[in-house]
Amino acid sequence: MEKRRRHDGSFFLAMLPLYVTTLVFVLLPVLYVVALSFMKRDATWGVTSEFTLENYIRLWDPIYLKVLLDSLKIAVKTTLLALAIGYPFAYCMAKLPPRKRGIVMVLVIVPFWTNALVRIYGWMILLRANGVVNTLLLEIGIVDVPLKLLYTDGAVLLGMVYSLLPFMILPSYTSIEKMDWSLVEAARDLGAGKMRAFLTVTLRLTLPGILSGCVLVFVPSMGLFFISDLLGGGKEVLMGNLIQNQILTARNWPFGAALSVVMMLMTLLFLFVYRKSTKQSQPEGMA
Amino acid sequence: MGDVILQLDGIAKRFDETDALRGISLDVERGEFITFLGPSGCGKTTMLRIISGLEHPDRGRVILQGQDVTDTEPNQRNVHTVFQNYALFPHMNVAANIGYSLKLQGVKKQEIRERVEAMLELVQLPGFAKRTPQKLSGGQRQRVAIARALIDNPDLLLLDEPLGALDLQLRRQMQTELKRLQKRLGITFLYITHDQEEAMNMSDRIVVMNEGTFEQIGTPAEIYERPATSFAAQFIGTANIFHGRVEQLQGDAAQILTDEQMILAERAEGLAPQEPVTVAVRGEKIRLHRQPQPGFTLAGVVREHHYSGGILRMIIGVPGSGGEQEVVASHQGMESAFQVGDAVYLDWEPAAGILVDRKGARRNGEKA
Amino acid sequence: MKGKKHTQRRWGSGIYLGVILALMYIPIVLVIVYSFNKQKISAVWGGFSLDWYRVLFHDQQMMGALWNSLKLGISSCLISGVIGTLGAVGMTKGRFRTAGAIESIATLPIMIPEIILGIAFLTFFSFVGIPYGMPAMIIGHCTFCIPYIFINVRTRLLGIDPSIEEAARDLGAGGGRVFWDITLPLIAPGILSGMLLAFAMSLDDVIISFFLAGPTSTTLPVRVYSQLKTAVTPEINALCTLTMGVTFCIVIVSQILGSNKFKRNRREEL
Repeated sequence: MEKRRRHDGSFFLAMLPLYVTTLVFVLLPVLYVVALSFMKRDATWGVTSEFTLENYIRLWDPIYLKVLLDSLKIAVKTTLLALAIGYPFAYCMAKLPPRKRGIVMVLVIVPFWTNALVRIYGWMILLRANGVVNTLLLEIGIVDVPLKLLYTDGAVLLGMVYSLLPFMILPSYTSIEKMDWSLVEAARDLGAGKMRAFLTVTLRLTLPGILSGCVLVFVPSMGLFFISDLLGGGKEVLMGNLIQNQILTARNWPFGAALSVVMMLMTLLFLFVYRKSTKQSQPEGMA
Repeated sequence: MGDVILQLDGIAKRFDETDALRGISLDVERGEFITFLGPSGCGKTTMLRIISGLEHPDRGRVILQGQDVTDTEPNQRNVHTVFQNYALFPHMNVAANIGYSLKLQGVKKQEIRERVEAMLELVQLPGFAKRTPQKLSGGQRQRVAIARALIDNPDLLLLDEPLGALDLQLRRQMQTELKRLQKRLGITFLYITHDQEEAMNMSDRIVVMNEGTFEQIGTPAEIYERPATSFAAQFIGTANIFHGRVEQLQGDAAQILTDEQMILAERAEGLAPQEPVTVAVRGEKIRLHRQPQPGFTLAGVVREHHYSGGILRMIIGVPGSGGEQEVVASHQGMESAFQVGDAVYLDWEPAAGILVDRKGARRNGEKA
Repeated sequence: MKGKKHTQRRWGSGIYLGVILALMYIPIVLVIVYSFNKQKISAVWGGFSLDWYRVLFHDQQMMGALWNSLKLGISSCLISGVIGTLGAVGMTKGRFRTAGAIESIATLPIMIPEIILGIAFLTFFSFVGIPYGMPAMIIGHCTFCIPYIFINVRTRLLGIDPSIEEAARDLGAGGGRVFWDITLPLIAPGILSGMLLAFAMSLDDVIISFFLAGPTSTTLPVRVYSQLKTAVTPEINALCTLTMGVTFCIVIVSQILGSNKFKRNRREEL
């Protein structure tokens, strides 16, 4: 018994920095945001530590409700589109011979680690009024006037899906690749049609991967303010933009904090549902 | 000989809700090859880990060379283990693996190199020093693991099912080699296996384990010829078990009444009429007849024949109160005078009916 | 008949993979191509030139931002390398009741939207009086770098066959010796690939730096972001091409570290 404790002592020491940084620099700041959301804004700027619910009441203003709804809408659209594109991609990838599979894998991972700004910038080059797409269309003669492609809702959605697609592909691929294909064969053998076998076996067994892909796409899509800034021209106001605006420009920290708390709650709710449905503590394919 | 190198005294260990070991004691002599034989989950690996120091017992003492080492760390004990999956260090080559314990002791590089070479010769892997473990076959990894554990002359070598992952032919070959190695080095081997044939082939003594206790300790011949419990009788070789009561004693024999039949068994010391007994009979001791035999009323019908490796096994259905009991009789050769469906009468020499599970024996020995 | 259908399907899936990959790479390739364009108006090709790289290297502010980014990336990847590794070892080897809770909180930074983390740091640091700038950014980056290293190392630790460490103890190694001789070499690839990824994440981060950069310590991505919002100069193309080159190398190295050794370990377990 004594011995056990002696070992535990050094392990505890090893964990101490993690404990401290986690508590001081993750837990405390997050708790502070929560506390802040219940405070009053000071006359000039800053906060007074006076309890109030007004920040949350203000959320019910139709202007802000619309932002909330718009953000949710774009997050849902992004997730569904990413799923519609990413899952078949992962499926085709898993069916490739191993060597080619490895190459495609690296090809998917490289943009995943490439600066998101750079990739968004590439789309700006493509979609600008005098950008590549318009130049091509004018050259061929399909259009006479340049189309408005950049600074539209479609461009924002495109940028979101584009940035987050690898987060859908990787976990889906992991679960498809792990799947025991003989189960599909068994289902076919027992008389299930191709579609039915896919729906009842493949889809069912790869559900954990699909769900974790959805979490990994949905959660950040609510916060990527720079995408709607760059591709939507800041015209479309989403949660992320609103928060950034309230904190940095309007300097209304308590209200910004309240918005953050709402976003955090939505995220945690989503993660909670995910954990309940897959009994997994972390989305697959995180690192 | 006769000098005790290891003493286990009342070792007990619990994991969560299960008793892994229930207070076992044993003396191991220097230079002995002793095998712990039992089904998986019987506590044999736990016992080995307690001897090596990787586990701490809840109760009891481990005494090595007369010194109590119960609370000594594994790295302070001169006892080494050959792990079931070899546990070679994947990032070191063969020489570094084998020389690891010497390096820890601060032995000079030149001497380590020489001793590693000698060890490689001994386990018949000369020239393998620079290979990485990943490039070795299962049998070669096994030899490296053994060399690594033997290089600094441990007091005891613990082997945890070391041949379990090898195919049958290689296993047989390694059995012979291990035995030869042990004889040559004179190091005490504590060997764990669930393979009775392996235990029979290699051991000076076998300890039969079941559910955290020792069922029987003895030489391979003793355990086969005179099993102490029905578990030991059935785990080593095959045995037919009959439960009954002593009817009467006559000369060297005891007449036993099972639920419906009369059989004969040995007359063990202190046996008294009406005593409930369990009789174990080896299949090859059972004789088949067309006529009833004196002292026996055991009769049945031949249900199946199996021929395997020079032995013919016959399964005979014997009617009993709880339905038909299967009795297995075996013979050398491939022919039998009896066909499937024939009615047969059974008997054996009284001495072949061994009384097992007697006093001092275990209560759960009846489980088969 | 069946064979033909099969080939058709294979072609179909190949085309699909190709199209999606092409869409993934077109913007990236465009950036690279235009970084060598002589013309200032990006859509038109005016011949090959390295002018924009020259402009970039003479841009004092850009170079300052680059230097900041490197300082930030290296220090946060080193600090979180130590903290994350120690934490993973302590948590895996020792059994603590609070470990599960700490693990959840420690991995929170990569689970919640980054903007929330940015806001939390911005407001909290102002509250406790940590000035914005390099130290604040290092703290911020460490919090999201630690989980990557922690998860990487922990996965590896859990993958080590416990009997390998037991064998070392059995052969006479004490606790510290086992760690140096056995555990550390076996988790080293995990630590390294985790640190490389953390470095890449730090180099790419816009959001956290955006909130925490003081007036003097702008990082490269923050600077690129503000440039993209206003006037775009082709200099950005050159810069993006360079950063992509660096990231690409990091990814390749970490992939090699990750896959090969890991596979070898896995085989060892069999």
